[in-house]
Amino acid sequence: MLRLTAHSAYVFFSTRIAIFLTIQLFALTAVAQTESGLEQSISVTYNNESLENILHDISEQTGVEFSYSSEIVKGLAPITYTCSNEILSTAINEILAKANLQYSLVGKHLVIKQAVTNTPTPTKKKSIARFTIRGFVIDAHSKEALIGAAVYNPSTGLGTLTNNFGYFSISLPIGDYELEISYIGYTAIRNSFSLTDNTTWNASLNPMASFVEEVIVTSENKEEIIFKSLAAQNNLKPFEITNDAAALGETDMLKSLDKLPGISFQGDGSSYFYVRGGNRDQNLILLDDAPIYNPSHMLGLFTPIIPEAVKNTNVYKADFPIQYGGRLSSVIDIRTRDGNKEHFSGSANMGLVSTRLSLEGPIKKNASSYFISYRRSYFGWIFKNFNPSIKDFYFTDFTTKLNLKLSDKDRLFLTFYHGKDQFLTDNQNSTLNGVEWTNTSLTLRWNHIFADRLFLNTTINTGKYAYYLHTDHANNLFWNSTIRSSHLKTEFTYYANPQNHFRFGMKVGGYFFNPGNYNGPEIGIFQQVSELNSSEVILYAGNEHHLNKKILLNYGLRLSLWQDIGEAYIVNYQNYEPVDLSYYESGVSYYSKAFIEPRISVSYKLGTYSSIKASYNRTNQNIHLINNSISPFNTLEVWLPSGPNIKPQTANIYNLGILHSWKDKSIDFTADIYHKTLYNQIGYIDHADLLLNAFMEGELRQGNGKAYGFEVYVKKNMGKLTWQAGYGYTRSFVQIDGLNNNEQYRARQDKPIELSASLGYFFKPRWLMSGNYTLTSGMVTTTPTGFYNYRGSQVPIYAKKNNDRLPNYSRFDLASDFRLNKNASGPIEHHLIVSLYNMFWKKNAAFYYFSKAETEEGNFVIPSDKLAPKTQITTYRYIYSIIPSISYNLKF
Amino acid sequence: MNSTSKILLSLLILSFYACEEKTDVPLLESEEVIIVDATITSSTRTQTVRLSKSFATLNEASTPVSSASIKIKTEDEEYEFFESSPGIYTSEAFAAVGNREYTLTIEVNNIMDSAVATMHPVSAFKNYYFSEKENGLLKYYYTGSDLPAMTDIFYNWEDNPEYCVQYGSCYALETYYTINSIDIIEEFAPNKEEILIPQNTKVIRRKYSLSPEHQDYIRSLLSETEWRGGIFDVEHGNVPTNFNNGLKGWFGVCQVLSDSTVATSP
Repeated sequence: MLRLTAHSAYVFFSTRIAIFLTIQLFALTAVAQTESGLEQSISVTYNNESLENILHDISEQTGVEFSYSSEIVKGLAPITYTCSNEILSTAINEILAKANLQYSLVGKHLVIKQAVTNTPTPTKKKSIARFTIRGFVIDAHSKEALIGAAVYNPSTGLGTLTNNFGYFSISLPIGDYELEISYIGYTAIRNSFSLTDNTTWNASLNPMASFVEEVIVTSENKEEIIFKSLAAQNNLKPFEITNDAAALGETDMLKSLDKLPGISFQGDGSSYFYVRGGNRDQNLILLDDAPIYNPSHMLGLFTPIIPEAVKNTNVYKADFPIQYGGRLSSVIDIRTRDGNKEHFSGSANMGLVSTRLSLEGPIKKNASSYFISYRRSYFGWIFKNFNPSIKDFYFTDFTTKLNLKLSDKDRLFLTFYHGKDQFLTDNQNSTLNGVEWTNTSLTLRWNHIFADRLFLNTTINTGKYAYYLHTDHANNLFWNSTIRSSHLKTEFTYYANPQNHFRFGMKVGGYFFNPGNYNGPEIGIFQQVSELNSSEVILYAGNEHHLNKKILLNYGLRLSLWQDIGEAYIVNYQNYEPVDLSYYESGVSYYSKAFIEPRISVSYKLGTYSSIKASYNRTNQNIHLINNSISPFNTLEVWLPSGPNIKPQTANIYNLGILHSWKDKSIDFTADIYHKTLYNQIGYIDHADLLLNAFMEGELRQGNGKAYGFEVYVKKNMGKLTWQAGYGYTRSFVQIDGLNNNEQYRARQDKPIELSASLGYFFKPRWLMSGNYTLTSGMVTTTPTGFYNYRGSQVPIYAKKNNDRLPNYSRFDLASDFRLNKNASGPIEHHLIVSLYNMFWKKNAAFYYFSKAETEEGNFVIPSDKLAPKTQITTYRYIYSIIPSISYNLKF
Repeated sequence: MNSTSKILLSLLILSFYACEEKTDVPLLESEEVIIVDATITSSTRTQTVRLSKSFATLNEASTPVSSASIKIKTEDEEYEFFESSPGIYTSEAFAAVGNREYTLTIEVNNIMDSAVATMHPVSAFKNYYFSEKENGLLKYYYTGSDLPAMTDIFYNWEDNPEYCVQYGSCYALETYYTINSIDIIEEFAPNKEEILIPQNTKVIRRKYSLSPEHQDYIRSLLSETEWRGGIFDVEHGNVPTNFNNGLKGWFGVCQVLSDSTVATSP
């Protein structure tokens, strides 16, 4: 009997494992050699031939593939070589040795590099020495930084993704490596390194031909992205939406989010969207780190984010990156384009509604650049003709970005956005009334590379949203609400080693709230609502930790402190009734609360192109949209901070998901299930008085909620035929004491059906047809369960809150994109896009009304005559019928 | 306008036109409730309280509620109401006065309920304003009130039998409200039926003061009736009541002001 001591057992098994692994390694190498064809025989004769020609000839004869930098073969002396029936690997070694070169086998490629002479015997110390390969990944033509490009070492399986500024850093032990960089829509490149020192590799990727080509090619490294992406993370790139059918041809990034499962809009013409059963104020929309509080134009029919200005959009629905917080449901991280650093270029779009123009170019070639875009609507004159009471109806937006390279280690970015909407009508008293809102954001960002592995991003940003309800525009009488925020954020990314990428930072800032006040000489008749100020300090740290080749952990912690600061008048309530008023002087803190937000997720690699992810996030929200509108359109939006009378909203988010890619078929698949527990959700008493009401907090109630569901998403974005389909099942409930007899009820955004499918097909190289179908549950609504007469009016009675649902929403859109220029690589590219939005003329109900009567002319009006009230009927309103549109896009 | 512009205009109009239609929505039913409509005024007159039942669908006739015992009490007075016709209860003539708390007590169907109200002052009328519309018909424009109020406008054109036939009646009544609130749903309320009157129509205005609580009630009532139906609707909700034991409706005490004129072109 063989008996083993613990030590001998360890040695025995270690040895067996080592032998096993060695055998496996030899076997794999042998397989690789065989697969690469290096064992075949070759007979060649070269006389004073260049190495390039020799390699080309060998490649043609044998089918082996060589990879090498042109730099490495430049200036080499011609080579003379003859062999007969020689093993190919030997022949190549002998040829390369004449040029002091050697090769290594990477996959099926023979990567040629400088021969390493006197290769040092690795000592223990040297074997653990690590060096860093770092750099930026940019578009070879425009020099635009590429976000989320996969930087990957195929032999070790280690890699990273470029950050929001296109920067990567990967730290590896001394040795020979090959790195591959890939990005969707670009040709991947490889480079080999003999890593004996820190190395910079600023890689330029060549974009594939224009998107309107027969084939959209992507050589994206799916393995890295599938493994490293966060749970329930979606990425949307501008080229994926530019050929979509959109209402009146106005494509925009935010409206395109409805392609993603778990995200649905309130309906036609609305910029309000709901993510996984959360409320509409629970989505953090960032434009280069600055918040956009109301991303809408024309009452919400359009949003301000035009595709030309966008480089990349990441959507996080459950597993929020550690640097983001402050909302419960989602983070929409939009990064704008830096501008073309190589040459002047631009684009223009002319549609039925607006014209937009974008210009970009170098300030200093290959170093600094600018980007400017401007959009102005011109439909106002049409509406004025159609409805003379409309006096002003337009929107405009302006986006600009400056990108300055101060040095190899310092970059400065400035992003500015301003958007404005105005809608004025002439009322019966001949005064102009209407609404107006503006969004403004400004970001100043400094990137600095302290060391090869330490990246600094410092951002100063400010965002402002102001809403005006004009009661007499000429006499400057209006109601106004405003939210304004300013923050300073400093964040470090430390690429400690391939296994650990630390991110830590601090964010400090403040908010100003005007919860709605009336401006004008009659101010005395309205209540003055106290303006409020808040501040926050946030510390965060997290790590992306590769436990091994199969397990990736992301964990971190956010600590934050929220404070409300005077000057402020704060109403004190008992049982929601105001009892007294407290005054706080400027600078005095009257409310503070600290928060701890743990974040953890694990990604387990099931296979090369499969991973399973589980995550837990806790997040808090201290700014709250106070609005009881059920309209899909923008209405008077008031934001209030957490404070003595409004508790912070909190969510615990659990997510389990699986990602799989069939790489050969270019099909990506994701499925997720999730559960969210929501605390201190805001509800409103019946007919809450939220305007010019100093006691509006007494109109609010808070309670808890839950949301859960699942999502499935399949996407194919390569080839002649591209398609995607997503389904979401979303349930959302709240229970708030004081509402609905204290019973739980469905949230308005409860949507068991969320289906989206789209298809694109290149009939000809220049002609793309695309279709999109959307089917979602109707919004939850409240319908009467009875009526009574009171002074000639029929007054509805509601037994339960949110007891009903509007009919299912569905829509089919069709678009045709035709490239007018024959030469795809010419200096000008222009397209004609014809689309039919809501092609089947589905009249999707946005409201039910029970209050109207029909006139002899067929109009629906509120009955006036109390002596002989007209018969009331039920009506519904829809926003869009079929919308044909045509637009012209020009790129130069 | 050239042909291209006409096409564009047609496309846009097509996109946004006819966006409201009739429909049929099956409604869930709830239990019947008893509704109180009680507004006593500063006019020395027979005061009235109406009791009716709620109904399940629009336009149903409401069922009067009989056999109720109804009283209004103040600190030193009590008025009893008697059923003069089904669901309509009247008192002896009296006038409500200010600075006094009125308690309406109703006992019906084994329910004992009560509501309390006080009277607030009414402000003077503003001038009449008529504008001439098509065919020489006139439209009365309500010009507001300095203090919160609801104002009934009663039209009588019985001297114009031709218009009686055209309109279908010789009388009409509409109500306007002035309340101290600002609501988006009010600002963008749907169009109201326009009542056009012939020249020389007798117009009687009757203006009722509103207490702050009565104002809140009216605001909710309008939110569910006259203001409901625009594109900026707010969450639906039940109109409040100042009864506290199951009855719905409102008990109000109003100072009242009345005047009259004959409508003519401005």
